[in-house]
Amino acid sequence: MPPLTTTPPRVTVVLTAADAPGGADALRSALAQTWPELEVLVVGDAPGEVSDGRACVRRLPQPTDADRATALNQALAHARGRYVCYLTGHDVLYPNHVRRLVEALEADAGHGAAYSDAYATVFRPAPGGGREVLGKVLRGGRSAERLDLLAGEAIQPPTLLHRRDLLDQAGPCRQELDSLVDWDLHRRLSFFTDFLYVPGVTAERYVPAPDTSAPPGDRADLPEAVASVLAARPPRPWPKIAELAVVLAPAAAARWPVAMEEIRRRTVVPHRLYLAVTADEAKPLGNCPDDVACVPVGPGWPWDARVDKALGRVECPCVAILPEPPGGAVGSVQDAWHVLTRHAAEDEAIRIGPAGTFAGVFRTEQLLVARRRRPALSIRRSIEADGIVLRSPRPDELPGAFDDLVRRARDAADHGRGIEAAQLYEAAGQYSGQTLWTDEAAARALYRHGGHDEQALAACTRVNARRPTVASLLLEARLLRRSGQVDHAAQRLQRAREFLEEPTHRKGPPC
Amino acid sequence: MLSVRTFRDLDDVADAAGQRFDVLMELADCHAALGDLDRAHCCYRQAARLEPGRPEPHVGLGVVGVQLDRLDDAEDAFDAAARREPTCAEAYGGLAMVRQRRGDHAGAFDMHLKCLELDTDNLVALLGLFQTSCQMGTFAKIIHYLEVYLGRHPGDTSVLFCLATLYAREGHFAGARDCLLDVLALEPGKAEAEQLLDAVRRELADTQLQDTLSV
Repeated sequence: MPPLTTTPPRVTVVLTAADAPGGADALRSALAQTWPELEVLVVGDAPGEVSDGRACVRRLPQPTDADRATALNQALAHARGRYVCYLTGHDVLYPNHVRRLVEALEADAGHGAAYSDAYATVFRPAPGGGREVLGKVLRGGRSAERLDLLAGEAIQPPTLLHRRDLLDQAGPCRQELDSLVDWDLHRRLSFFTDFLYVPGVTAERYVPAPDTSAPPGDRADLPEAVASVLAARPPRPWPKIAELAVVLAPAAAARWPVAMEEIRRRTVVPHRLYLAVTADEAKPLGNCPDDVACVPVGPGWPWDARVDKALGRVECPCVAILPEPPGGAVGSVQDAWHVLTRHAAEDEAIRIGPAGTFAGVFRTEQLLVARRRRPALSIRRSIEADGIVLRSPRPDELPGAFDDLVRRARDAADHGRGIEAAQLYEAAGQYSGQTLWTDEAAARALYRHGGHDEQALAACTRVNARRPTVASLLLEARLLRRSGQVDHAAQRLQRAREFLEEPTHRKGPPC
Repeated sequence: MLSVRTFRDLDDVADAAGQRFDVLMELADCHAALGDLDRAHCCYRQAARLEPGRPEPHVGLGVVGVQLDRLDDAEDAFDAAARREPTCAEAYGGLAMVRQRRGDHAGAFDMHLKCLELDTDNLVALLGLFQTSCQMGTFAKIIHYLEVYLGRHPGDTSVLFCLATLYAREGHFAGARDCLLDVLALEPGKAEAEQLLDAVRRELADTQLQDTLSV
C-alpha cells in the first residue's frame, strides 16, 4: 500500500437523528475514531461546539421538516471533508471504521466509495434505562454486484464512506422520498463510482427486538417509493453505468403496452424504450409515455428498416433489440445487459430468450457500424458478416447465479437435505469467492440435520479463525459440545458472550 | 428483489433476538457438565432474568440444586419451571428426582408418571419409574409405558430387559421369554438376560407340565 500523503484527508462524519436514545453512544463512537482528521456534524439535540483536540463537533439545528433526506442535505451542505460517512442515533462505529475505509480508498484510486460489514444489534429497553443487547446478526458479509446496488439496499448505511465530491455529480438526497433515502443515494452514487468492499465488521445498527404479538407492519407506501427510486436519474454523463436502450419494433402493436409495462417493472438498469411504430399502430398507446421514445415509421416498413430508424435515435451505449414481446423472458433483458457489460468479449453480443431466436443486447456503436457497412443486408446477416457473435449467457455469468444457488441451498436445508444444501453453499462460495459467508451457511445446514458434524465443525472453525460472530461462535460451541469437547465449547461461548456484552464501539472489535 | 431482502432481514432479527439467551443457556450447560456448578448456577440465573417466562433456566437451576444436594432450592426451581410451562416434562422429571432423593417413592412415582404422560420418549423418567415401581412393588402402569417406549425404540435392550423382568414378576412368562430373546439377539451373551431366560423357561415348562397333568 502506498504511504498516505503527509496530511491525512479530512473525513466528515454526519450524525443524524442524534436525539434518538442511542444518540450519545453514536456521538462517542464518532469521537473515538482513530483517524486524526475528523469533522463531526450533528443534526439534532446534541452538545454545541466541542473539540477533543482532533475531532471538531458542530451542532446543526434540526430542520423543521425533520425527515432524513432534509437532515442529511443540511449536514452535507456544511461538510468540508474529502470523504463523508454516515451515522444515526441508532448506530455506533467501531474506532477503526474510518481508518480502514479511508486507507482502502487511498490505496485504490479506482474506487470513490467503500463499505464494510455491520451487525444488526437487536435490543430492548433495559429496566434501568439504556439498551439491553439480545443478539447481533451480521449484515452484509459479502460484496455486492452493481445490479444488487441498483435493485435494493445492498449496503448498510453506517458502513459506507465515499468521496464527498461524488455528491456534486449524484446530487443531494431526494427530499420527496419518505423512505429508502439511503438506497436512493447509494444507487445514484453507483452511476459515478465503483464501490470497494472491505471485509470485516466496523459498525453496528441498533434494531429493536421484534414484538411478535404485534401484527406485521403495513408498508403500503413501499412500492411507490421503490418505483420512485428506480425512476431517478442523476445528470449525465454516467461513467459507471451503460444505459440500456430497448428497441421495440412491433409486429403486433397491441401486445406492446403490456410488454412495456413488464420491462419497466422488472428492469432496474437505467433504460429507455424506443418504439418504432406507424401512426395507426401508435393509436392504442395514446400519448407516448415520458420514458418511451416513439419513432414514427411509414406503413409497410419492414422490421429491419424500423430497427434502423430507431437505432438512429439511440444514445445509450447498449441496445436491446426485441423483434417480439419478450413474454416470460423479460428478466433476461437485464441479465443479457449484465453479461454483456461484465463478461462478454469485444466481438460478442448476448442473446435474449432461447437459442435460435434473434433477440439480444448489443454494443450500440458496434451495431451501428455493422449496419453502415452493409445496409442492404438484414440486421441478422450484417451482424454475422461483421463478425459479431450472438451467444447465450452461460449460467455462471448470470447476475442471479449466486442468489439462485443460495435459494436452492436454503430450499434443500428446509427440506432436510443437509448435505445437498452444504454442497450448494460450497458451489456458491466457489462462484463468488465469498467463502466466509457460504462456509457458515453450510455449517449451519449440516448442524441442523446432524450426521456430518465433523464437516460442519471444520467449516465453522475456518470462519471463526477469520471473522467470528456471535452466531458462528454459538454454532461452533454446539458442534464442539456434541462431539464431547465441552471445555472448548465453553471457551467459544464465553467469547460469544463477550461479543454481546462488550461496548465494542469503545474497545474495538473483540476479534 | 427489495422485498425479498427485507423479509429475510426481518427473519434474521427475530432469530438474533434469542442469541443472548441461547449463549447463556449453552454456557450454563457446559459449566454444569464440567462440574463448575457455581458458574452454571450464575448463568442459569442470568438466563432466567433475561427471559422470565421461559422454563428452561429454572430446570437448569433445579438440576444444579439436585447436584449440590440443595433439595429445597431444586424443588422451588422445578416448581417454577412447571408454573411457567405446565407441559414442561423436564420439570416433572426433576420433581420426581427430588422426591426420590427424599425417599418419597409414591410422590416420585406420580411425578415420573406425569413426566411420561407429557413425553413418552423420556428414558430417564422411564427408568426412574421402573426403579420406584420396584421399590413400591406396583408394576401395572410402568408396563404400559415401557411398551409404548419400545414401540418407538425397539432396539433398546435396557428397556427390553426391564420389561422382561416385569413380565416375569407378573407371571407373563411367554412375553418375558420373547423380550429376552430379543435382548440376546441384539446383545448375544448378555449374562443377566441368559440367567433370567433360563428361569423363565423353567417356569414355562412347569406351567406346561401342570396344564398337562390337569388335563
